[in-house]
Amino acid sequence: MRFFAKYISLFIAGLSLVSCNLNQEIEIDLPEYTPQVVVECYVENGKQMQLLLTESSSYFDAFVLDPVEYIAQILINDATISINVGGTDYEMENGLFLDPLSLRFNNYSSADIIDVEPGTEMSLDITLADGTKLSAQSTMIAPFEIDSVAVEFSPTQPDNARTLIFGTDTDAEINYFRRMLHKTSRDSVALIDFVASDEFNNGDEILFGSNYDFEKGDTCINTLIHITKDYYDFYQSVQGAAFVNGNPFAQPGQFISNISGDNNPIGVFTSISVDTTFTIIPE
Amino acid sequence: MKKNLFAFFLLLFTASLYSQTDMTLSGVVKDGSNGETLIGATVLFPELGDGTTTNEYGFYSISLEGLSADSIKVEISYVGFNNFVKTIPVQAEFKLDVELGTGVALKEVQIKANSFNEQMRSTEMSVETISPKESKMLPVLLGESDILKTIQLKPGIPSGSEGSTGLYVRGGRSDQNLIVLDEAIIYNASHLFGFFSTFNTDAVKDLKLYKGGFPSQYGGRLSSVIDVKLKEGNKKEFAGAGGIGLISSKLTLEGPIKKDKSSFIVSGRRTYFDLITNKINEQNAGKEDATQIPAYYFYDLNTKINFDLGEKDRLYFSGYFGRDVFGFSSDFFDFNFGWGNATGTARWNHQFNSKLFANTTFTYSDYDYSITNEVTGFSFEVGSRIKDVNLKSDFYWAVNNRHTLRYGVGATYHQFEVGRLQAGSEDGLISFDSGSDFDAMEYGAYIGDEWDVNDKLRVNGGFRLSAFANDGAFYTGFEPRLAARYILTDNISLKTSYARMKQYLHLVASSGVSLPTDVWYPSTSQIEPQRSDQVAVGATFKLWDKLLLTNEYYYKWLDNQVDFVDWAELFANENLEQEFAIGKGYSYGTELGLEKREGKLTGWIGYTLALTKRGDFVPVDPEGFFGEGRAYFSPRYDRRHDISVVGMYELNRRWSFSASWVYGSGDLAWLPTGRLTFQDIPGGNTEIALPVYRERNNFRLAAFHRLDLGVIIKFFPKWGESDLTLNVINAYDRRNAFFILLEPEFQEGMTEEGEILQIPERIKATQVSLFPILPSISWNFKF
Repeated sequence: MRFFAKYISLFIAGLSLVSCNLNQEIEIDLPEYTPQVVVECYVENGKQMQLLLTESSSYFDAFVLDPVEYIAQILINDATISINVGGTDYEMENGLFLDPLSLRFNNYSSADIIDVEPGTEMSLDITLADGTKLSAQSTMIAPFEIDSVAVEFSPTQPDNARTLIFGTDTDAEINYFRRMLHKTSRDSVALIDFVASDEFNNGDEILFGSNYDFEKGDTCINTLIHITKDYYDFYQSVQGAAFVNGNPFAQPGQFISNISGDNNPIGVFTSISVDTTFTIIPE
Repeated sequence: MKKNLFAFFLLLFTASLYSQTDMTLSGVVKDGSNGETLIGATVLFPELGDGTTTNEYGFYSISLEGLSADSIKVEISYVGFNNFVKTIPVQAEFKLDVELGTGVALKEVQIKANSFNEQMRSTEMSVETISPKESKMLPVLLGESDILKTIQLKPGIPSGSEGSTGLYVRGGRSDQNLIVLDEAIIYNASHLFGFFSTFNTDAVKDLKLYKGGFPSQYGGRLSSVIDVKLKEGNKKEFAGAGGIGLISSKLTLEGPIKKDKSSFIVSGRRTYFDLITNKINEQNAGKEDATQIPAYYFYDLNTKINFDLGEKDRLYFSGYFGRDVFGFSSDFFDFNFGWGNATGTARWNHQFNSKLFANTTFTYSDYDYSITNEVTGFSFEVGSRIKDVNLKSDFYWAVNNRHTLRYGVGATYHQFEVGRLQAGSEDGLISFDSGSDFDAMEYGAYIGDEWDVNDKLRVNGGFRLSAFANDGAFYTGFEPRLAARYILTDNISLKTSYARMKQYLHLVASSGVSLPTDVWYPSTSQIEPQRSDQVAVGATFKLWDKLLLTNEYYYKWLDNQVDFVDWAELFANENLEQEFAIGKGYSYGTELGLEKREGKLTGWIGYTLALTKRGDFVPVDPEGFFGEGRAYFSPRYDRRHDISVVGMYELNRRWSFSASWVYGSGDLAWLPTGRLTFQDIPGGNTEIALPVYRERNNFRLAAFHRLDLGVIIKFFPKWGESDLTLNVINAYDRRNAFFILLEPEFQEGMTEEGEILQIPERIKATQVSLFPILPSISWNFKF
């Protein structure tokens, strides 16, 4: 539906180009908003557990222009957080933990490396400084690997190539994926980034393609992330919220969060299994 | 049950063949200039005060009892025509076919009294009509005369967004309107995403819109019935009409196949938007910042032929075909999007005797959309379709001077192709498809009796039995209908009505804006039929024989209402019904209308005060998520106040002027109240101000108001008649809100390493409007 809305919007935008300026800035008086707690926690086997705990703000509040001050403003510190994985409790330390490679930061972390069997139950308990309690449950997702990567050159434009990634769906359950494709660096804006399920071809080979966006010598970074249904729902609502703003043809909605607790917390507590391949387009 | 029902209708049929009265007058009333039958012409016995009106096929029948005189005077009238007056002998049966003329004007007051009197006498309430002539006089967007848009100026019919043809009648959704063109259902009555309707005014004979008090012959939708009849074609002489406007041209040809016995009409229209946008694209070619505008056009074709097969039988065949075509291509992709309706109707009118008239109709309806896109090496096609085949028989039986029965049966076969998707790569490595098909049957049988209890009280009571079968699910519905009129004085009549409606088809459309990709979905074992119950009371006042004042109050209960879970995937989803949420709703309000129909100045003033709520929604899928749970909320088009003032002034034969002013409470918008920072996993896209949506429709846009002006200058060349129609839409250049755009504004910063950063500063709210002041000119002709 989104691609369709894009073309329609383009058509209307085109019409507006040939008419006069029909936009005007207005004041909006919205109902009072109570800030909500926001949780992002992606547990991955073989890695430390980290969690980002922030607070939302009123939509029209002015931004703090200094990035450091801004981060300090949205972070919620001094919470007591523990994650139980397969019966073992892991207490999360409060601080500011920056990953220099991905430039992601978190404000809670555990030094322990997690390595548990798929299906292991996990739970999250958060107690904020004011006593507010939040919780969530998830299970460890099974790994899902990219079997192979194929490079194909365009039949009409031989200098342009695409990649195809293949995987094998071995179980009868519906699997959920997040598929990303980057050129040169994972820090760059993804060429492709969406969530999908194998509902239509469950039990068969999984295949994701791309456009002929690559030239000889380019590095293609294909990432296939096996995700939970909770994460699939949450990320769809995140993508929807990012897309819907100002689009008269789209319908807003609320975040589909798996965090429960007081004052309508938002976020996701989930496991993920990431497989990334680097492919250089051959000369 | 089925056997008993059949026997009941057979009894009605046979009984009507043999009953006797003292005198029965029957016939058909036509326009003398072209042989078109006239719908709603008044047939009156002025000495007795008894009368009736012609039905939708121009047929009338009235029975009188206990007549002592040898002869009686009958008067037949229709607005805009001379009255026909004749004294006829009193005998058991008298057939009087009449062709009304326009040659010599009658005294105005006679005509006014007749048209108002019939509205006072009828049990019908909550009904709005508009003639093609009125529609052509009123100013419209880009001069494109549109009867479905002009009827939105009547009280109680709020439209959707600016420019939209979507109707939200008495709290209903846009899919709760039954739109029939020559009795065939039109599933999407809009072109250009709702800016224009599918009805070419040149081909339309009559449009009637029921907001409540639905007669028992109608069923299948909850909120309104829009019954559009096409012209039959001139039976007297060959004639033509056409027009050239800013965005489209149209041509209608009609004439007798055999004079006074059979006729044809063909009417076509096509826009040339695509020619304009192609020219702009050519001019912008090569410019770096230029945005290519997709090519778009639509066209309509209406045809109809009819034959008089003797005095008692008539055959009609009509068809409609219309399509929107949208294309956008570049070196890398080829995107095509088309949608449209095709309908066909075959009707047989048969008059068994002077009292019993039957109409048997076979209709075919087909609506589909198709999207194809080819990106280098990869292509996909997605589409949906609904096809109907319907057969029904309707009977009109003037039993005696107290009772007129209408009854009938019908069955519809529905075929659904929902979200058919096919995608794949040229090399065959990628290939998948999805979609679901349904075959369903819908049945209806009805009876209604218009009973003149006494001179003051008339009751129209009946019921409709409906049924729907789809894939093992079987639903039945008992839909009682009741309407009553009481004449309090010569100038005041009181009316009331109750109607239950059931709707077995649902439109899958989450947004308030109607899109061609909206999919019709049948009731299933999990999705029960929608239901409404509406009561209305009202009064009609005739003021100084010049004005008609109507005031109605209504309350409508809505059950099994359809909505969709948050972030529903409605496109190419095999498990579509898992995205449904089922809830309730209610709507109430009052409508006030003051109308002047005759004289140089005609028009109306309408005011509606209304409130609509929906809520108690429960997802069909227990894991589905419907934000705010079961709380009640105002839908997007919950318009509290709606005012329309419409005036048409015919200065003389050459000059006429029109103006319309509309005011409405702003639409509701669902805006975010909060924002959060979403960091995402490595490789993902961090959102610095991701909007947080809480309560639905939490912001009311600024009130909508607009003044439109029109002038028609007529010319009378030897070959016929032509006119220049000048319209000014939005005459005082009001910036009405189409939607609100919220976006962060950034200021530039710099990192210690000298990199430029875009730092969000504030959220800016921008109101986007569609139309500034828009003049237009069109040239129309007829011969």
